[in-house]
Amino acid sequence: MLWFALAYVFLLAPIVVVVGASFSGADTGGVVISYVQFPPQRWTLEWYARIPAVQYEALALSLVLGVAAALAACAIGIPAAFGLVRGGLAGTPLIAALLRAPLQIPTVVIGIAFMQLYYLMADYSRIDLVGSFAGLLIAHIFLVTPFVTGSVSAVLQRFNVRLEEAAVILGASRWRTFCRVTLPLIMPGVYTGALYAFVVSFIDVPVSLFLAAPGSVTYPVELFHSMEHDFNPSALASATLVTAFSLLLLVGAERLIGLNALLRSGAA
Amino acid sequence: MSELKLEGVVKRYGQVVAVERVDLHIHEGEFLTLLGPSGCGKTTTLRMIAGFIDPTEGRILIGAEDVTGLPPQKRDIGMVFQDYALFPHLTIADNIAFSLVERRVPTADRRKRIGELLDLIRLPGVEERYPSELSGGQQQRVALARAIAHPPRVLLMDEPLGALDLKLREAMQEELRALQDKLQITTVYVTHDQGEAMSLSDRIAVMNAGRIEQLDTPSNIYGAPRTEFVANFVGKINFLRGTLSGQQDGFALIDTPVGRIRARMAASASFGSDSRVTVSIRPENLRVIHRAEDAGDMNTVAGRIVSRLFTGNLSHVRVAVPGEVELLVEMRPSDLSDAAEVTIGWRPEHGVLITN
Repeated sequence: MLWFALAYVFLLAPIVVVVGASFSGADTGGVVISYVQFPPQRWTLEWYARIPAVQYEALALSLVLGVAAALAACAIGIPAAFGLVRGGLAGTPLIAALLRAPLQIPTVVIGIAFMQLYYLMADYSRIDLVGSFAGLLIAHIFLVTPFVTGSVSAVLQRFNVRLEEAAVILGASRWRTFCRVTLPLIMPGVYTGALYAFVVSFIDVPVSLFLAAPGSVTYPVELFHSMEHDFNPSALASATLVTAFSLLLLVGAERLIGLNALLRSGAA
Repeated sequence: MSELKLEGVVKRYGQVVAVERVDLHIHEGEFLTLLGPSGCGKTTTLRMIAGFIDPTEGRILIGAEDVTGLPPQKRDIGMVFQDYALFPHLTIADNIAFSLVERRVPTADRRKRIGELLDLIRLPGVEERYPSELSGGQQQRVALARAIAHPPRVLLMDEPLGALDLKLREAMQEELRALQDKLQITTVYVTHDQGEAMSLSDRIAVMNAGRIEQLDTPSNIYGAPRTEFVANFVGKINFLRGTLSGQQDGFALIDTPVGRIRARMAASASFGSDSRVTVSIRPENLRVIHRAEDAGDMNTVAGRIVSRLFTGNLSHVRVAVPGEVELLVEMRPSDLSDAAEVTIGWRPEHGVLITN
């Protein structure tokens, strides 16, 4: 019990500090002190009011980017998983390793590589992705697709192919079988992979740092910059908002996936 | 419902022959069982009928239609799998109506059909439940209902009772037989359980090493096995090997280590004189002869009891006879002692001549 308690303290303490400090105000004769204080001497919401508008814009961009990257990762990762598990191709282990590669490359390297690629492309063709949202999205898709490929592969490996045979013999075409049987049953894997894909895209700094330009700055990069230049607890306030939002998202996803996992468990 | 024909069906995987050559004609409404040990080709044959596997050679016909090469979804076949293969994400109603949805049957008709089928399998009221909420036996009944929801031309069953425990299996056998009598669907059933095959089937095809050893009624498979494999696979059996030396009064005369015995000639088989033959005798047809005058025209052989096994209502007694052969005798428990000298006798018509 003590061990579990310690583990929870270790995991949650940083969050508690960030959240606590975001409400912290120190009254020193009208001068607002811009540093982190924990525990708060005086409770205040003023840092929330001081979150700069540019951070909300960056947050919106990051959300759109994360969702787009996760959807694209599904579009690429689901067929890739089918190819890996059922394709029966020679060299499948090698292909699997290649598809996993983005997870093993340091993300800073991915960022620099994409940046250089975009500059080269801009030099030698009309395609200019430097500092564009499209450029950012492509790099993020590269970064997050392995999560979908991996989680869908895992579900497919445990998939009972008799279920598909049953659907086919009952008169369903291959496409109908995919829609009515295969896809609903691999959805837990899709949800998990897509959630990871979104989160990894959403919190990424190293890749986005090299590809962002004014107008395409992601939320964590914006936060990073604001802390570099002028650190004040408004960054903590904004981080607290995002943490709360993520928590809601996770609880929602857990209910969705949890329910599916329950349905799967009994009869497969 | 249709008749089903397999004409010279062969399945090879490279050099490996899974099904060597199968010719089968299953009549309309007939219940035919493919019986054999694992690896004998029975499941491969079934999967070729379903269309999951394409035969290397030969044709498969449902009614007059050649379905060889036709994809499974166009064959109008029902199938019940060993692990049920119910869709875990769909309710019982949606499982049963799966084929009806694919055939665009209107909702009202679908609901009516689901009700009929649940009554038929005696599981009314489970429409909104999920497969994981039902027991194994219930799931298997739902799988059957799903397979026949859109009346199939042929029903295939792949060891459907294999996952159930013994008591439930026996109850399901009776239920399946009753359903078959009611529905009269042309059925191909695969099992390695000879008791199941016996109690369910109109005819049984005993398969071994990719070919059909014998295709016959259950009583003939049991009472007149044509090969040693069939005799051995179906129930317990004794073999006496010998040489055919002639015929007398419609019986074959065979010289064996236990002396000259008489046996029934199989109608279809022909043997040359002096050919090596095997006589098979079921244990329940052997008796202990207590007085010489009881023997009558029976074949008799003297031996010594080597072991006894009490099985409840009957005893299985092993008797050593000349030629280093042990005969298994099934009889009522008696006070015979171990190592007792006994005379064993059996009527000539109970000895069945089979090819080696």
